Amino acid sequence: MIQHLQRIFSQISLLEKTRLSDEQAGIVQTISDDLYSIKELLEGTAVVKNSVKGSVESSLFQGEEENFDEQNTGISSESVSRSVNVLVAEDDSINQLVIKKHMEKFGYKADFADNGQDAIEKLKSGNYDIVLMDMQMPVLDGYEAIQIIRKHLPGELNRIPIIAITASILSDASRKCLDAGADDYVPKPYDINDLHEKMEKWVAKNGESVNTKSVNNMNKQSNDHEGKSLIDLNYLNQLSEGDDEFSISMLSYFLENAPAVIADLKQFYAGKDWKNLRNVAHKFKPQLTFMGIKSVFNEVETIEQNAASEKNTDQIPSLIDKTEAVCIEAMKEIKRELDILLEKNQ
Amino acid sequence: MKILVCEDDFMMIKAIEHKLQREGYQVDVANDGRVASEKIRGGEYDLIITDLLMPFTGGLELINMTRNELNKTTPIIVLSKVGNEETIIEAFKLGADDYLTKPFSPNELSIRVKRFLIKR
Repeated sequence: MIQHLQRIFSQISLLEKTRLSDEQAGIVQTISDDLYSIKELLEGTAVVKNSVKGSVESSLFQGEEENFDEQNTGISSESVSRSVNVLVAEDDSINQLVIKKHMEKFGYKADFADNGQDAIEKLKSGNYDIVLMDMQMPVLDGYEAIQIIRKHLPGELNRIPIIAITASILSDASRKCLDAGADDYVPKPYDINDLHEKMEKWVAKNGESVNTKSVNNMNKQSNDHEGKSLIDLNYLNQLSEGDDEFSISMLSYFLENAPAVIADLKQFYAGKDWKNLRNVAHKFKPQLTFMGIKSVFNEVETIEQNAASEKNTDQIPSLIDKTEAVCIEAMKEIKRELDILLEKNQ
Repeated sequence: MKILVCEDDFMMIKAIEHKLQREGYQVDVANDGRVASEKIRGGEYDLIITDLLMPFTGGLELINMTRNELNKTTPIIVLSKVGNEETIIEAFKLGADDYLTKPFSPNELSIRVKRFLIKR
């Protein structure tokens, strides 16, 4: 990896010798700064350069690393006597490097999973004390991964502390993470002290409960993460401003239209009609937004993008399957909502 | 006050129309760019709200045509999923007056619309 970087550096120095416009030179400078940050991270000599605009690290966390001080958090690493094994689910390789550095700083050992599915598989080994879960990931995002962990992993595994990390700027992001079953939440970019404090807290808490685990286990099986809704009609309600007739027409339209959309997705994929596949996926997105079906929004977007670029098209069938499965369940909920409204407005 | 909404998605039309009608505006809808350009040519609107990605004539083309071919100064608000800087700048250069991205906040749409209609 370092060798690859060296090669890029030599290419950049060649580029710098050619005549560049101010704008081009600026871009080259930014790339070169970012590469240096990556190189330092790889070599373990990372120093945060807050002055570098768009630097690799500043994209992930706020605050100056110099300020990171165990005393500040009021909790020292020694408070957890054994070594802490962290599973980090994060798809971005640069972010992985930065988090790895931070975990070392906390005195933790970090393993990485590239997506939610991978995280679930790794967790089954039972080797971990805590999970850091990025909520925006390909294949299986953090929200779903957490729900699966809580619902389907056996015994004590399903109660592992999970801290969600999300770049979402929506005001209810933290609530969504907690609803999904995370124990705690840090926004991205995160504050390194805040993250450390939360990790210590949850590792310690989980250690305490070890003794009572077997007792609680039976009751915990029927946990409160079940029966989570796949739809969120907050946006629709905001639009309707209490006008049920409007809501009824939107809900009805989705129920009529969604099965046809799914059928079209399948048909266009089968016929390798990428242009129409892309269009259908594109047009489905606002409908998902109106119904608040967020759990397949990324899937539909990926279908659109893959169809547009005609790349990774082999991923499309499973994306369509998942979209269909979620939509079928979501439609049952929408039907219930619609029935309530219809009854009220008879 | 008459507003032309150029948009091809059924639910999006419903949502925009609903909000504007509640605010007391008269709403006319064009389902694609071609219909939109005919309506702008023939009708008198106080405001145009347009999507960018529409069949036949795209939103940018529609803005260009409204300003340069039809020489109309009707205020234009772009309401689009597309939110990249390049497109936004292009829209303003061609003569758009405001730009909102989807999914839109109904209250924000309403306040922006009001701004233009008071000015006139």
